[in-house]
Amino acid sequence: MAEVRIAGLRKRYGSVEAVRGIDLDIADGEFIVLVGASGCGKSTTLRMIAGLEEISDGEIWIGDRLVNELPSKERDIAMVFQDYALYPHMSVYDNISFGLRYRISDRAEIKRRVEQAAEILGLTPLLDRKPRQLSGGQRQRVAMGRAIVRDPLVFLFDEPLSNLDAKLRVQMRTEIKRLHNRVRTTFVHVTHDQVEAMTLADRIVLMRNGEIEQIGTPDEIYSTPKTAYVASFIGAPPMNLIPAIVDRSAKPMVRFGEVSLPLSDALSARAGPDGRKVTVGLRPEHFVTLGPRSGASASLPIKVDVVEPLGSDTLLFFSLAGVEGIARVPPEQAVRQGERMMLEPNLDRIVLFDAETGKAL
Amino acid sequence: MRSRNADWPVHLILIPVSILMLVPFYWVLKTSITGENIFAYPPSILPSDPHLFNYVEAWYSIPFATYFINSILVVFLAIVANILIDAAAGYALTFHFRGKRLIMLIYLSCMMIPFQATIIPAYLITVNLGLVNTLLGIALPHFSHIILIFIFKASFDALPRSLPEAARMDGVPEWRILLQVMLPLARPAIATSVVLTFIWSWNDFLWPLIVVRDDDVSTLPLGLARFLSYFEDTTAALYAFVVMALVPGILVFFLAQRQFIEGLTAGARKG
Amino acid sequence: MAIAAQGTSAGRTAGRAGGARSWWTLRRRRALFLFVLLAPSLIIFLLYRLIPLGWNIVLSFEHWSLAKPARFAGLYHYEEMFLYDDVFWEALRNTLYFMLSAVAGIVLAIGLAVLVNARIRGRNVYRTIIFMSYPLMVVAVGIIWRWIYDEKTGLINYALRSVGLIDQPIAFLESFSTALLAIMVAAVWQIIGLYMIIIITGMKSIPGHLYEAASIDGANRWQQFYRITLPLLRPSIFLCLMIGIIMSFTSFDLVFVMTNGGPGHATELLITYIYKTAFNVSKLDYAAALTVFTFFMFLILALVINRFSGGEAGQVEISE
Repeated sequence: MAEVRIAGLRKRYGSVEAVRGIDLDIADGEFIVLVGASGCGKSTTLRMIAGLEEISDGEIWIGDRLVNELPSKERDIAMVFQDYALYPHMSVYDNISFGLRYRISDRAEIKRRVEQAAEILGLTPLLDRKPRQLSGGQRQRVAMGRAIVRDPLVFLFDEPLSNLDAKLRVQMRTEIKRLHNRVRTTFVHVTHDQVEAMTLADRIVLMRNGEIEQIGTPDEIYSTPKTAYVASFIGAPPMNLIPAIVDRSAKPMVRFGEVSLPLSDALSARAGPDGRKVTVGLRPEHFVTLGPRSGASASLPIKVDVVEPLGSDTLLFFSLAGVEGIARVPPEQAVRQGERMMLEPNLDRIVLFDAETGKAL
Repeated sequence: MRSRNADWPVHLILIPVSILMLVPFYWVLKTSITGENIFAYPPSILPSDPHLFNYVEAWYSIPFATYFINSILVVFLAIVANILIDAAAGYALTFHFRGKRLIMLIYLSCMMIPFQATIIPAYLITVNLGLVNTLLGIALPHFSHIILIFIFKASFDALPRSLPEAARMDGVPEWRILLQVMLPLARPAIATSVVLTFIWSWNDFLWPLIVVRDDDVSTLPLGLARFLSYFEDTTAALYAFVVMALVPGILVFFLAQRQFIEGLTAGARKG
Repeated sequence: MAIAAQGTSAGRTAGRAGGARSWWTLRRRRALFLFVLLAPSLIIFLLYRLIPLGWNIVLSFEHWSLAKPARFAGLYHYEEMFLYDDVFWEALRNTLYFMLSAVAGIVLAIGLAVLVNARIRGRNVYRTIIFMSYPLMVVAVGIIWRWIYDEKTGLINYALRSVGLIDQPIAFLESFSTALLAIMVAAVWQIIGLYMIIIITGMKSIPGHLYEAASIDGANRWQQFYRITLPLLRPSIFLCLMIGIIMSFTSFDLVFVMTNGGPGHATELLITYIYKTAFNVSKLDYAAALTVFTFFMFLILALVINRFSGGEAGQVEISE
């Protein structure tokens, strides 16, 4: 087990810079998820940790060793690939033991390790099968088994769940989490799926355009996004982002066209001068529906465009100040399409972003 | 059944064409088993007095077994060399490295040089290597074929990049990655290279004609040509010899027609 | 977990024992590995393609034979070739005729490909029969055709006499007027299957919806062939043309066995003439000059054709 330290990491392909200076300290035994849209540099970062890409600039430390100069086989890491990278012509046993044969000469020890890993992953009856005779989830387990027997300092996962169907993905997600609980080794997991990131990570590293947008626990990332981009990336449905103007003509407020909402004292202190353009962020679940004629001052008059009942709750789609908004309300509230009503936001949960920089205020 | 009615004009052309294509085979086979004088006129359409005597005569009057074994040895050397050398080069070309463009350029320009344009210096080089009149001397120029290098490269490129990467991370040595991971997964390319190398080496005539002097290192085509020049007027045994020389090639063709065609049209499909 | 409990495994120790290496060394190791992979094939091609090409050029400007030291000859051999050597001109003319036979073969092959590619019963059988002659040993094929062309008991003479087309048997391979044609027929017989296969491969890569669209637009079958098939077959046809042209340079075996260039030099090709000059009369220097001329003539032809085909007919080793 080991911590991983990344400092000033860069990757250039010719004139294109895929990773533009990343600093990241991963604690021993921590489960880190790198998440972001495709092309954000998350996979490149992982491949540099793995030693599959040369490092253009910066340093990577695993434990107390600077690994920039080490070939991947000497870095003591194991990786689970997106397509599992199982050798199609070898049995499950050979797939798991193939790499081990070049590290350990003791055949009995190899056998012991493979059988133990197979036991953990429920692969014991499948050891003689070929990969093509396995289901997607079983292949995934074999790939994990290959990593486990190596007993590495760090596990790397490169989008390991993206080839699975939705149901299996949830199941394997749990399995990865269980594995982490069991081995308590450092995990670095790359995904584009924010749900995966939220459910698995001790800390999420959200990347954008080759840079880190925010690092934090799932709760921090969800509740206090540092930028509007993070707010829109995390959460399904995403946070409502509504352009507004700070209005200090009476008490501090944010104004969307005709309507306005009062600002809490804490927010008001950070909101800046009168007339400043801001983006108001509100999670869909932070709304309460009121009758159309409710006189509450801090409420927004809306017309419901679409109603999507999900069972556990209901989504209301509306438009406000020219942007689409979504509210998540309890299912027992009967709302009809086209209905006019008032929405009362939880004023304490409002997040304000600068309209130009997108940074949280 | 609509189609079968519309088909008959096509068959009307293709059946005579097929007969024309097959007649030479039939004619040599018929001659080779004709028991009586093959110069009788008019020639019989069916073999008269069919007999295997000519094959026996061919077997004893020429060192057929020697030619055959020599041919097999040359072909075997060439096949093994091509799989190892071409697969290795094809694998190297799946990497990105400085100078790759230059190497590709060398291969592509070598492709533009037919072997026939090199026979004089190639002969002099073979003399200098001390390989004149040896089986290795015959086989050496066949040890690598550029088209097969590219067939191997294409087949390695089609495998997921994660396979060699996973093996590399596990500490498998590079040459074992090639031999134990990549090569077993490139079986179609191996089959194609075996078939093409077989046909090219088995049929090769000009080069052995240049580097071989003695009967005991001659291959089948050389033996055939020599037989022809010894007996200026042909005998039925010659045609028995022809049939025996053709059979292995025909067998390989029928066993591996698909690989053969795939190899030959690899360039056509790219275009 | 249990496996981790035995953490100080042999594997980990081995991994750490590697110690620090610079990327430079890593790169050098990889470069060495790639070099080892590439070297054997490069050596073969250096020995049997590139060095011979240069050596031929050098040799063509020298007076040289196996026993004597080389002397600079300037353009002596080329003067001899172009101004005084009638056999060279005859061989060149015959080689060009041979190229034309390739064109005829390709036209025939296109026709056969259309028929064989139709959805008919037994198409695979037809394809196999027509293609079967291509991979055969050319020396054997030459002997078979010699026998078929035989003056006294050859099948062709017999057939022509039986139907009353001729009274006297024709000595196809001994007559100045027919020998070259006879060899070209045998050559086309052998290679037409390859042309056909290449063209069928090209046809299969034409998307079927093009034909559907055309027939909806009211194009008949001939128009579909002329407007869709033929233009889209361009790369395949050029590939065949390239193969045919290279073959007119490389067809040594057939001529050697069937006529050995005779009668006179009526079937002499450049390649047979090069062979005889080099290895029968030991004029290696002059043969080198012949080779250099021949090679560059074919190279230029190939490049011109490649230009016309838009660079798609580059795969030429197929004719080997």
